Amino acid sequence: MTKGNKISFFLFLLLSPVLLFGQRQSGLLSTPIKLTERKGSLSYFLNQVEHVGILLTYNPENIRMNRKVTVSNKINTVGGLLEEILRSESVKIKEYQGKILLISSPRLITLSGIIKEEGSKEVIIGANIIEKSSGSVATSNGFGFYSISLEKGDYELEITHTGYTASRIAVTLGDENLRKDILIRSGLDLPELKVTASNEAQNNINLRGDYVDLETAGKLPSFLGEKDIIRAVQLYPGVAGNNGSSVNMLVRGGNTDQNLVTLDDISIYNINHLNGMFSIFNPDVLKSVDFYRSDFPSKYGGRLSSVLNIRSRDGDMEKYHGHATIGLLYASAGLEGPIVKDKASFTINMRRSWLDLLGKEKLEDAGLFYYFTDINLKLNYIANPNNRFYMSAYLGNDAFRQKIYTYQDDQSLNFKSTLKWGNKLVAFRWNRIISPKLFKNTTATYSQYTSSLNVGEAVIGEAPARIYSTVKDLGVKSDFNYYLRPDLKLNFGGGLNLNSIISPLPYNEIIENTESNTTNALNLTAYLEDEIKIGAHAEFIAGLHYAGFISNGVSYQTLQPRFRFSYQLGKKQALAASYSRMSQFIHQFTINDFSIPTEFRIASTKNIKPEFAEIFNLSYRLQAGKTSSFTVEAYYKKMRNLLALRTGQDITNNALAPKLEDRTINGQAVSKGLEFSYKQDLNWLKFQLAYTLSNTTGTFKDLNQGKSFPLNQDFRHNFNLAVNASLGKRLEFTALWTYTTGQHVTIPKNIYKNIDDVLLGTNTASTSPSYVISGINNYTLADNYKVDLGLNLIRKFNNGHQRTWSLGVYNAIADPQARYIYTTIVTQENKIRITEDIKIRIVPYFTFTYKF
Amino acid sequence: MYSIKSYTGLLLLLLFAACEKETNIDIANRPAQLVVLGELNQLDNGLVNLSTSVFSTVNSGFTDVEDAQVSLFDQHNSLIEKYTYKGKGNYTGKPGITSQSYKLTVDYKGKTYEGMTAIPSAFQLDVKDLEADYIDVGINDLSPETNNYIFELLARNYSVDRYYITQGQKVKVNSEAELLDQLSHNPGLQVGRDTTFSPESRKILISTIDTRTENAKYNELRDLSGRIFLRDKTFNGGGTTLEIRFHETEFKTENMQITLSVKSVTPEYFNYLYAMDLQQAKSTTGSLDVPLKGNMNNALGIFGGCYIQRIIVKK
Repeated sequence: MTKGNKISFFLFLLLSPVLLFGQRQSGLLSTPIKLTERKGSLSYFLNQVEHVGILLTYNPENIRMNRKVTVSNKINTVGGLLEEILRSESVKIKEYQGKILLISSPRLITLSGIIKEEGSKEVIIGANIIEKSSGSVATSNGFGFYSISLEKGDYELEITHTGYTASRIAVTLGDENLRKDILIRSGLDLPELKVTASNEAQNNINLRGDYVDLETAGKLPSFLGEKDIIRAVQLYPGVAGNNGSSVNMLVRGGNTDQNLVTLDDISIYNINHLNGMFSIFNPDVLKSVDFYRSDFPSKYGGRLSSVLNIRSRDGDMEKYHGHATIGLLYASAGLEGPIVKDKASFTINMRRSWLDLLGKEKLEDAGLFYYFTDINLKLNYIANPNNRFYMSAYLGNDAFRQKIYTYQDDQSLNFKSTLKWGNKLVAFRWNRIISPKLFKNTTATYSQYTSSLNVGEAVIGEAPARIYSTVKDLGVKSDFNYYLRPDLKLNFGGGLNLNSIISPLPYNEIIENTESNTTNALNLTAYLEDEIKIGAHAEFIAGLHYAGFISNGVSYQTLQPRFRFSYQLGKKQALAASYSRMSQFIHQFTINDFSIPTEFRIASTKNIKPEFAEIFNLSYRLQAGKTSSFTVEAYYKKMRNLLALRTGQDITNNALAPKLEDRTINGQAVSKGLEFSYKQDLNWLKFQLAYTLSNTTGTFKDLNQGKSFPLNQDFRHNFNLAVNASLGKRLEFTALWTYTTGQHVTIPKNIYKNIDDVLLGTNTASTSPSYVISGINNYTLADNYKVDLGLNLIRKFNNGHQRTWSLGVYNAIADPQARYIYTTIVTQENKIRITEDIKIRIVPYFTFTYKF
Repeated sequence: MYSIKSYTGLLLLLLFAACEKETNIDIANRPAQLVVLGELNQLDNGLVNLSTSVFSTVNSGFTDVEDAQVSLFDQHNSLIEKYTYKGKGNYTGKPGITSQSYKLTVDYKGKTYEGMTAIPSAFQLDVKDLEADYIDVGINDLSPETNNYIFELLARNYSVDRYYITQGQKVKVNSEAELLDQLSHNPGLQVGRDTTFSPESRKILISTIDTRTENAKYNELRDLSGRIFLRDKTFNGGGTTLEIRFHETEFKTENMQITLSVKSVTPEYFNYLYAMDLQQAKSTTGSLDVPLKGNMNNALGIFGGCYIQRIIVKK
């Protein structure tokens, strides 16, 4: 199939559902008709049809006979005419025994509105609105909006959402569309867990993506007791990175830079605090987290492997709430409440590590001066029932400072070396309900990430006093949800993004006329997606994502089709197959999870093509009773134009070519795997199990002599088990067990004499023999495992306040991944020695939280 | 401050007092392979060193191979000569001829190992400038063929023995005072000096900021490297000058001869030496992942061909 044919095929698939009502014109319908008038009432045009000798059968009461219509000049058949004039009527056109029947369809009335939490008025994402007699189901979108079209009549609708009490409302649909905001009550006692994102309600097992259960995530044991949503995501099948104590996400053989992470639709380039031990996402701020590793919605693009879409809380419209937490590393506090009751609200949350407050000088001397701060602020204002405005901002900083002593001209000098990094994120959003069937969300975003190393006035070799890396994004986009018919929903939108990337030159870079490492780029995106229900059991989603990228005088245009077909086997089982194509224009290289200014990003250029991934996914989901669910997925993912560092390029040691293009080589990779997950949710016991069997290999022409080799993100087995048991009203026990195949490393298989020893005549025992490697990543370290244990002691007071102590041990039993791996040749012993450094074990923790 | 110490200790315990784990992989039992390391140029006798892989603690090095037969063939597969064993695993033959191709065969324990190489076309070398901490090296690339240049500064220590001749015999003097004393008694005394060079040389660490070189282009071997690698892409068939930097103390060292050595080598030899230097650079940072590709069938190592020019820049 040629490229043009492929595009035509995709467009056909995309548009076919919209045209489904288009009738095939044959027989009577193809009878030619000449119209003398192009304007008139419906009755006039129906008479014109009968004048050509065709018998029409219809009920005039079901058609607005006096409605004025204008017919286009292209109409020249009876079928074409009837389609055009009856498009807005609830009528089906059918040929039957020599006549044309205009069969009345009942007129549908649209019920729409916002689903909110009772009390706080926080909008609820992903709630299901079910009308059981017709089997109609609608789901609230990312801003709580729902739209469901039904015939006239009286209905009892059921609204469900995990974490909320299922509720029923009675509605009467008359002649006009009805706007109704729905309030549902939290089913949880804990105020802090009122809003959870899991919409995995029992009556909707046909889901795209995973909706992270914030309630369960908040109870798991964690490093230093600090809850982190990324650690919850790491428990999903297909996600590796959990065993290294950092918040890495290696999704289905993808690298860490292949994850699109957004907070309130703002792209984030670095999510790390404290050497990657925590993410920047304050758990007290989060409202919903959805995660996709396949079945990507068409609105997302720009990364190959996953989408992590995080939404923050809007703020209680009725009452003021707050919390204060103190732990081993940081303290946090938050407040939310109304600015104008039922009109405007705010949330503000702050976190700050407190180690540095104990004494700056001493800590700098010890090389332990470190702090981070986080501030999240969100404001929202309901201008009227159809317009709502939001402003959300995040400001975060990390700083690590140490005093370094050196000698210069026989004088002892000391100076401070400061490493800083941080994000500034701002988003303005406008939600508009244009009609009962059409919802628009417009967002303007600004994102800036900067990291810098400042050594003051001291001179170390040729190092400049300050080096830094910056990436800035300025973007605007609009997303539309159009609930066209009960069986068809359209999602479409587009936007543009300006990127500015500054990568540092190597420390010792003093070469004149080097290529500038500042890159500016323009990103354009547009998408269209149909969600079509086919009968009672099947659903087909067809989407197309367009991405244009212009930088350095080079432009790339990509079309990325996305398809998903699902079929429900009864009420308890669902099968789905999907295909997604993704592209990525900005590539990032960092030392594993450690952001220092030597990290660099490369935008696609003439020689560096955009990366592409194609993901095929099959899934089977079983809802076994009300308490358990089982999912199995198989995937095949092919990635092209992947970038890898050229042999010898070394970020850690700053051995980087001045020209960005000289640092990398390209190749391709294949990842395939089977993923299993099982969830059990009893009254007192919850557990979540995930296992992944996968294989990821890459082929780079200039690496490993062009032969395929396992990539760093290849882990054959990955197993996670999380348990949460309520032991009475006040005590909860949690445990987390992780098991992963060991990391790959490259080691020599043999050593031999150095040719310099021969040519220079030394010919003695060389201290640096040459070595032979049989292939990259040719050795797999021992498997890794860890068990974390935790206790939550909860005391609720009569006034609604709550006190929580969390105690536990992270890596209580563990042989986790090391942070650093060194390899040496021990010549005298004829051994290759692999040293795994910093394997974190047995870290006790406690935190105390008070909520009001 | 007690609280600081306590907290620091606690933090260390929590964050950094993590364990270290060592895995040792024994390579002594890996089958030893023949290693062929040699060079053929137009100036020096051909040299091939044979040894086996796997370090021998008994020999304090790699075991030399003494009982092999090393033969050199021309491009028509006609035998040119058989190399002569000179001890310590070294086999030598005659110098090669510029722009000729060669095949080396090694017969050892019933197996034949082969490698092909060539001596690239000639070039001219001169020193444009020499200062305390840099040297400007001129290259005149005479041929339109692709040349791959390697620059080295080689230092060789020597000792000087003063003597006078009496009764036809050299009598070594132990000091300048002793010599002056002898001359004062016998002004017509015939005196002289013997210079003895060390058989071993060492590479002076050099650097460049010239982005035409692989060292600066990739920034992997730029500072304090033993070799500078330059392809003739920008001056093929013409002349160029390369500035090589070194530490100024190098030329102040007494009794040390310094030679500028420039080789035009085959692409395989160029890549081999670059990878080998990269291996050494990266191994100091705990990473052993640079592949090394030689040109000997079924054996490790390389038989490299080069056109070489040398200039003594410090006597």
